[in-house]
Amino acid sequence: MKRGPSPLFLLLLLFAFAGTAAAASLYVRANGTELKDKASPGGAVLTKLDIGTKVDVVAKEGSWVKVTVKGKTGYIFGQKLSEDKPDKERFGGAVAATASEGDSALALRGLSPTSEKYAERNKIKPSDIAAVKEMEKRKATADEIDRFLREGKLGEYAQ
Amino acid sequence: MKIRLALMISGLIALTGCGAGKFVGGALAATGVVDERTGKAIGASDNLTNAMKPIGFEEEKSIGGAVALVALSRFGGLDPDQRLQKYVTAVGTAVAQFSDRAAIPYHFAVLGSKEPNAFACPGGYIFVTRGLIDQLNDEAELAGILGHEIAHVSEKHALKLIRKMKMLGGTAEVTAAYLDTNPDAFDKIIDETVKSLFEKGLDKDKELDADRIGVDYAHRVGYDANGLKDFLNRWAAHESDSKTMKNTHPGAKERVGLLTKSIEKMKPATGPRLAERYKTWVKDPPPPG
Repeated sequence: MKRGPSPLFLLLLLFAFAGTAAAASLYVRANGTELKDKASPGGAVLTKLDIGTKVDVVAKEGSWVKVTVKGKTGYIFGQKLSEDKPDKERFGGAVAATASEGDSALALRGLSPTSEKYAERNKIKPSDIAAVKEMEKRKATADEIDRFLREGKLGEYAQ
Repeated sequence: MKIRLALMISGLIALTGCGAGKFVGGALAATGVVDERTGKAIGASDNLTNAMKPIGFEEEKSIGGAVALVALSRFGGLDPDQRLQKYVTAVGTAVAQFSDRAAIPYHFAVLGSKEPNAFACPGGYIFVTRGLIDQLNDEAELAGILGHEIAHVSEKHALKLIRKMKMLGGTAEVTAAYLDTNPDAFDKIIDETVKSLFEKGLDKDKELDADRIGVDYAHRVGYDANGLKDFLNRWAAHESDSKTMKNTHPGAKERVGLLTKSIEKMKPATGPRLAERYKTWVKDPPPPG
């Protein structure tokens, strides 16, 4: 008579692998996400992470997640992490890496030549073309957004 | 016997690995550390990837730029209030940074039209009319509306529509070179996209998806998740005031019903409304000097 593995063996195996898998990985949702030394907005910034960076979860502490990434252990605001790896887009890495600094060749290029030709063919008013360009130039910098969130008690500043 | 055991072990590893990952994600979502959507993302993202044949960002931006030009020409150009433009850009940028597509730059503008509505063009061009701004009570409502529009971009709703057009036309791939050298095809794509976004509206399912996902984005930032729902509740009594809003979005009552169910799952769903900040930036006259 053939015998399968004992139920006890399978149970031990289940616990062993469950323990391994508990060290889940998450991904950074946006560029410039800060890894801090404390689970608090006032914590010192250990490093800034790029979108899509994989982090290993150590523990949850309130609305923060303790993680290990690139040999450092620190805290990231939980809503800045995603279970699925964000799409960096074809040019997304380059755009997003510098967008917070307010300039990037692609981001500043504005209306593409194809869009400009469309405007010409369809007799779009120069004022409307200028309006799209104005819209593209207007940016909220990373510092402005941080201050905006702090003043509104939003994001990691929520109480 | 050895083969059987090996198969059982490998099956157990697969089951344990997958189950444990979902368990951890579910636990983090349930405790509010990550959002509910992220907790369910693994399976969903696989389906999304399989369903999408990607149109690159460069092509998307060309299409979106042209659609944005039409939006400006049809809906009263830019509102002249620079403070308002700056404020809407700040709220929109904050929400976009917590979205599922934070890699691309988003652009926000208030259109001069007094008819309440909001639009999202491919490539991250987001518009809200002055008429809609005037209907809102607080920043949480604005964040919910901008979240809805950002969700259209992050979910690439218009691009999915364009992909259908492309298939109808028999074109294998929409490349930047194709768009640049086929002005008739490009104009057709823009015309069809404009009709869908500004006249007929996207599929009802896409609008309802954008409600659910957009509210989640605003909630990730920390806003009260009820913002969009509260506006729609008031708007239900005035729907006939905006023909374009009525034609391009499902009925407000249905949207409120579905949003109520989504919001019930968010714990806690409450957060700042920021009515005073909204009033200061939108309704009060600018400070002297």
